[in-house]
Amino acid sequence: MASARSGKLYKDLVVVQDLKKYFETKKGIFSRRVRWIRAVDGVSFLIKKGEVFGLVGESGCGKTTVGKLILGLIRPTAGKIYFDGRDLARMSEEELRRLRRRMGVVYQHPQSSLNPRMTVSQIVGRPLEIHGIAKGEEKEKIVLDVLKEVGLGPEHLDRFPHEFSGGQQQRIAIARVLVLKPDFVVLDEPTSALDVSVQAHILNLLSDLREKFGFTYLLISHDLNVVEHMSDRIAVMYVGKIVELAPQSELRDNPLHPYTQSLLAAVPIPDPRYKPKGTVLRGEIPSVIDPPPGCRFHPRCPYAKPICREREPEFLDVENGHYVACHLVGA
Amino acid sequence: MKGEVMATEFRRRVGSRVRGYLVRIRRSPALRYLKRDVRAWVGLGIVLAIVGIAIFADFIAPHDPETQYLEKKLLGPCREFPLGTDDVGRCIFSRIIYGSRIALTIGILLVSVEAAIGVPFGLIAGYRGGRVDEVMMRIVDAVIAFPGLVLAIAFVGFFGPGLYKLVIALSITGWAGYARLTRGQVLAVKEEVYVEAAKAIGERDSSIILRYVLPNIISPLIVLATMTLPAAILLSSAMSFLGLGVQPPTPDWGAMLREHSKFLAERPLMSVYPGVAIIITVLGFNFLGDALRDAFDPRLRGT
Amino acid sequence: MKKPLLEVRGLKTYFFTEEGVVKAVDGVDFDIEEGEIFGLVGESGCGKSVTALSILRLIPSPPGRIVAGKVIFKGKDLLKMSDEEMRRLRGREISMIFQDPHTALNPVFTIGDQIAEPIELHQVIEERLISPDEVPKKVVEMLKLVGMPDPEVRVVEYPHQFSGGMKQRAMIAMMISCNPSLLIADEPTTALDVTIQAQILELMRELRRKLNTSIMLITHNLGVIAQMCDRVAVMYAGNIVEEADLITLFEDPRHPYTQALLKAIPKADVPRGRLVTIPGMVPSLVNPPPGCRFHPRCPHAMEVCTKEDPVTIQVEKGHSVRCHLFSRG
Repeated sequence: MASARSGKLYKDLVVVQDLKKYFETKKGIFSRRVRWIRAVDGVSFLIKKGEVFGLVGESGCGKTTVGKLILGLIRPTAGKIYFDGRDLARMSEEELRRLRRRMGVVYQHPQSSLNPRMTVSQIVGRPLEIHGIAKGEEKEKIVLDVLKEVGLGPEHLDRFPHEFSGGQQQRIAIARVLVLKPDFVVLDEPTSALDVSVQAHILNLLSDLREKFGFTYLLISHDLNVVEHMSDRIAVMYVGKIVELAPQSELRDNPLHPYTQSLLAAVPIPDPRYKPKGTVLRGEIPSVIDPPPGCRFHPRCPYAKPICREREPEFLDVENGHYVACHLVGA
Repeated sequence: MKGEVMATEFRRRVGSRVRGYLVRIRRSPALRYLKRDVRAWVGLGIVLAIVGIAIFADFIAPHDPETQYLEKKLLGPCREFPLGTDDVGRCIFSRIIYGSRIALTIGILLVSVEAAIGVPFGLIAGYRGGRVDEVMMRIVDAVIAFPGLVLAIAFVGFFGPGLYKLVIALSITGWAGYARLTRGQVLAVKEEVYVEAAKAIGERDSSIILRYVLPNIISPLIVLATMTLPAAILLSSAMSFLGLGVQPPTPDWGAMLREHSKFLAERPLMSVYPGVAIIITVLGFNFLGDALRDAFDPRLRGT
Repeated sequence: MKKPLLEVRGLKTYFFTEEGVVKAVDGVDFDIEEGEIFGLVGESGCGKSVTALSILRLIPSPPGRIVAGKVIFKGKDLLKMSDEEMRRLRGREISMIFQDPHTALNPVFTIGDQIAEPIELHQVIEERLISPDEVPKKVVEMLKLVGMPDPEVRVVEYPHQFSGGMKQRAMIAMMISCNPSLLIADEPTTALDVTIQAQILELMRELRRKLNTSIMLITHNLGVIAQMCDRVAVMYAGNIVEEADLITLFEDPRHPYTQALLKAIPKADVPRGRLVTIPGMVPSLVNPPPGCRFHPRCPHAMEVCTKEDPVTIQVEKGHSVRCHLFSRG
């Protein structure tokens, strides 16, 4: 099967610079004033070829929006996105559409991500038709091969999505990604809607496929256990900004940002002897329309100082690829 | 040889695809609901009966509907003429029978034309959204506000009566309902994850509308078609009653109502026959449409 | 030995549908002590929610029905009570909170009204009758108890003005306002963000400490179980396959399903490798496999497993397993 990779890829497959995405919202029917939802408010990072990059955070942090921006499904309000060296902003809709051949997405709810009126063979075969890679018998053969890779068989070809279990549906979605042999795959909460045992199957499958075909993953999830299990590097987002970015082990052993510390402490670990460090974080997650001034975390931060209310902290490299945005962590 | 293999393979795939659809329909919760709904059976029975009558009219009707037996005018029901004859000696029973063809033809034709205009209109408006949607929907609002029957009368007044002109006249405003429904459905489906997933694999917009949106909004459209068909029959009967629709000697039930109403005093039953035909046909389709609408409604499916 | 607060024996709840009889709960036994947090864990479809609803007799009937068993609460069998007696019990002695607070919160009434409702209905707070004018004060007290910020302000607000965590707190306030002895929590934090979940779990631990409320915590999340529970029962396809105290369950699981489940959870400290998976799929509850329902997926399945239902054996004090591997002989 032909690979979509055109030979050499940039070492930094995805580069994001000061990315911003604001959505408009009007308050009230008659209000003329437009309020902005600052879903993504100045985010910079890069994803290296072949790595699993984890993006973790709670509701409203903007992680899903970042995924959609990188895929080019929505256009940024500001900032730059480079995929394999190419500036997405410079690309026309048609060029973007063709670029999709090198990208894949797996969504949280497998049932809703599959067209209920298409059979499995149509769903998985469609990408081949769209990009003119194969048709007819050759297409069927590729589809069958791909289905085998994900653990499904020819008997599933003419069935419809609703006839399958959640785990199988997710496999179909993965097959749909696999068929194009993309360079880059966005996994948006791929197992959050699945049972524990099914989740294990899917995570293993994703790991195996990555080893076999050399994919680069952007793993978006609120489930720290999953993110830590799979990722090489992890970025923690809070209300539209990245507060910390570090390699997985470094993040777990040495979390520098207070929010990261609270997050790690809050995740229930399936080990009864484990005593979480630190206290439970107070307060609610702030709204993305009116985030707190200065450092967005300051209202809930146990270590907040006056400066935290006044100025937004810079996102700095503290040591060896460990980035933090916090006034209390000196550069 | 290769061609043969490919052909059999194709047949096998299509066959299994069709079987897959049939199985899906058979197992669908909608069908289960329908089977238990009295309205579905009654409606389906009537509709099938009317269709059957229309198809096999030649075998059911004792006489040609347009032949005038002038010596046998205004007869009451008898063996030769089961429902009697009208004022020019035509067999009323035969005219009622053949009238079903006219009614169904008008209904199907009208629904087809209205859908052919309205559905694409709604698809584009709903999918594109924004300005385009606003402008298109204002047009739809304006058209819906027009009194359809009055406009149809004006149209016919200008261009003259006749079956096909009648269909055009009524469809001038009739398409708007399809547009509005389609657009509403598109708005809902547009937000579904599988539509975004389609964009993510590189589908073009036109392809998305045809493969992802349209197949998923078919159900309410079918219901609408089933409900507007009887409305079409009623409207066209009304037009024919006014003398503005189907012209004699074509056996149209509405036209027959007009002709027979002259004899309301001496032969009251004469007017009843075409009226009853219209009522039964319309009720049949309405029952079926009602049942279909409830069957497709996910909230009524229960557990 | 004090008698347990709740004793469930041989509970069977079936659903009679067009496709057949769904044996959602098929013979379940467990006890909950006073002041204990009891965890019921399992994957979707295992019957844990149905068990909870059966205890409160909230099973929609048709198509469901409790076909057998005893649910003895404070010495009385709930399944034999009249509807009226049961009604007096619900909200007052036994309460339930759900995953989705929308189930409990009515959008057209203020939070204050809704929390007041069970109080007014049962007219009891802490074992004594109260008068109507005491109610508003009690409502604010309840909101304070569940950690609601600015309770006096919140009392007149509507559910849609609350965040997810606050709605959950409001629902908890509603359900514990009459100080029930048993609180059933069905996936109470699954829909919440991690940091908010931590707050709610802490709240529940506090409630147990302050009011000595027993909590039956139902979830599929083993992490939550590990942080909260005293004792745990693992459910699979309508049966409890293992029951033990917390530490024992995690460190010495005996049932193959429990062992597999624990190995399937992604953990941060496990080196990036493959998770151990359970082959096969959860069985249909209409046509469960004969014998032990887990046998088609069990690595230790024996001949007898395909024929006979296993019996629950006590392998140690307080540790029981439902598996042929442990039967005598």
